[in-house]
Amino acid sequence: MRAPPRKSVRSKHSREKPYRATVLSLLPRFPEWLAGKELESAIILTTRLRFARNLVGERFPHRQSKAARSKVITKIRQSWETFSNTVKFVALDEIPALEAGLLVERRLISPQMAQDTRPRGVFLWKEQDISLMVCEEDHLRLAAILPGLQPRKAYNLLKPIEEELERRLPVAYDSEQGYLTSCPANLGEAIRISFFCHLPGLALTGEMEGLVHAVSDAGVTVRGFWGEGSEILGNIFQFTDGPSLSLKSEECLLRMETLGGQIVEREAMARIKLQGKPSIALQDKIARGLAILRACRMLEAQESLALFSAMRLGVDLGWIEGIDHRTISLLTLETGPAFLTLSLGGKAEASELQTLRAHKVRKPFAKASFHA
Amino acid sequence: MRMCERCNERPASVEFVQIIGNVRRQTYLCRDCALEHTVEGPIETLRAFAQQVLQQWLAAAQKQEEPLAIPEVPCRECGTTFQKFLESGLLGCPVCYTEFHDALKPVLRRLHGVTRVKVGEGEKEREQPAINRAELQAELHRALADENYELAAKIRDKLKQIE
Ligand SMILES: [Zn+2]
Ligand SMILES: [Zn+2]
Repeated sequence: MRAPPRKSVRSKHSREKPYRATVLSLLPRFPEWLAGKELESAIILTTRLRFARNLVGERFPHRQSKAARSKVITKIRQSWETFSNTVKFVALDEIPALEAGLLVERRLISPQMAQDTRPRGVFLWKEQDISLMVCEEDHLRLAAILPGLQPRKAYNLLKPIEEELERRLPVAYDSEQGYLTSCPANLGEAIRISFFCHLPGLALTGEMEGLVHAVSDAGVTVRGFWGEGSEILGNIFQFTDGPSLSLKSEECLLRMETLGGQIVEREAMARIKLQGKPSIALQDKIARGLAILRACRMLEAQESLALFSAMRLGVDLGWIEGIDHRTISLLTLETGPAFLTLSLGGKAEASELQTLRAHKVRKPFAKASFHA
Repeated sequence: MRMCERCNERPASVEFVQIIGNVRRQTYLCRDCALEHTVEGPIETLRAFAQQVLQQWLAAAQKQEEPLAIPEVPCRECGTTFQKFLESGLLGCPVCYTEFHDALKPVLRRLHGVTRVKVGEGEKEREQPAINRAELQAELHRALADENYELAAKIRDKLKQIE
């Protein structure tokens, strides 16, 4: 997808002035994790995997003074900056909140990390699929994000980096407890895997409860919006694996691959049901959603998420043509509040954001059509 | 009318659900506050989980006759007390694990026991066939992705046997 011509944006938003965000210049393109293609990535939008590590002889970040934190950060930077010249460090306490917000939208740092005010930072990989958070809940949080159901690939991507980290820095490890983390629920291999899923089928057929029941015994955490009105938030659910002190990394991967398989299977079944007996109400919702996206002049963030969800479902049910998941994922990032605000010079009224958001979605959806 | 639990200013219109293990927690939010949740939530739901488990454990222990042996001496390295850990779910430093070694044992059993499943060689203890099936499917998927068709065929046979 091409971005709308800047000239026309500028004419509508006369206040727009060049704003050279430190962070934006490090993230010139959109991230690699948008590129998912297979069926699975229409259901499991992304897989995230992270390692937690702490330094020997240092308190955990939440118990460190500002000075001690800064010292640890310097130590990590010194040992790590020679790793690769495509990996850049951003000190989060030195950039405006808005830029930290952009990193959250790109899912490179956690929302809590953006809100913290103490010394902390993040190493960013050029492809935006890997980030190394420094002084989050643990000293080091190495995370990868990939499209679709790919815990193993994420693991293989991070493992060599993690090994390099352990070569360069003294990491706290105990033969009995595994990697020592500030929260003991992370002990063991200290790997955490999570899926970001789009489950409109299960939400519409009321079968989320069944899935949740099936996975809850495994200590898996499910987060999302339930019940009436939940679709306004895009039918997105997050699944995270539970504590795993006794599990080897292979077992953690297997456990989540299994769970991922179950999620994909159940959602696919639910969609087959929807397709087999298409309700006129659902068709109306999707057709109407497309009409709004093609015609809107102002668009609220929440509404855009609900509409994007409906469009994704429309694409998967074969009712909407002329647009794909990747374009919708890209639009989700391009219409995020932090990204829009930055492209308006770093400061904007809510109405300006809504106008620019509407402008960004109209053109790509003009090419889409509804057939059912 | 139910108000938003976060801002307490606007009426709640959606229900945010977080299910950890067998515990379900609902939060009623207004649309504006809900939007902030739509960005992927913290991957670290585990700290909330730890706090929850610790609270349950404390409550159960208080009902019993025998008082809990909560160490009173703080960690010599960082000064964190065990009581503080029970409240926050976070230890203060790597040495805390040695300092509170014995007191932590029941906590770790509570925390990690939930998911203890052995899948090591020769000791497959997966009880439910449903999981086995899904597991096989995951293996099948991997075999296909690796273009290992011989293995894929074997897994398919196993799947058929189960069904
Ligand atoms: Zn609110
Ligand atoms: Zn300590």
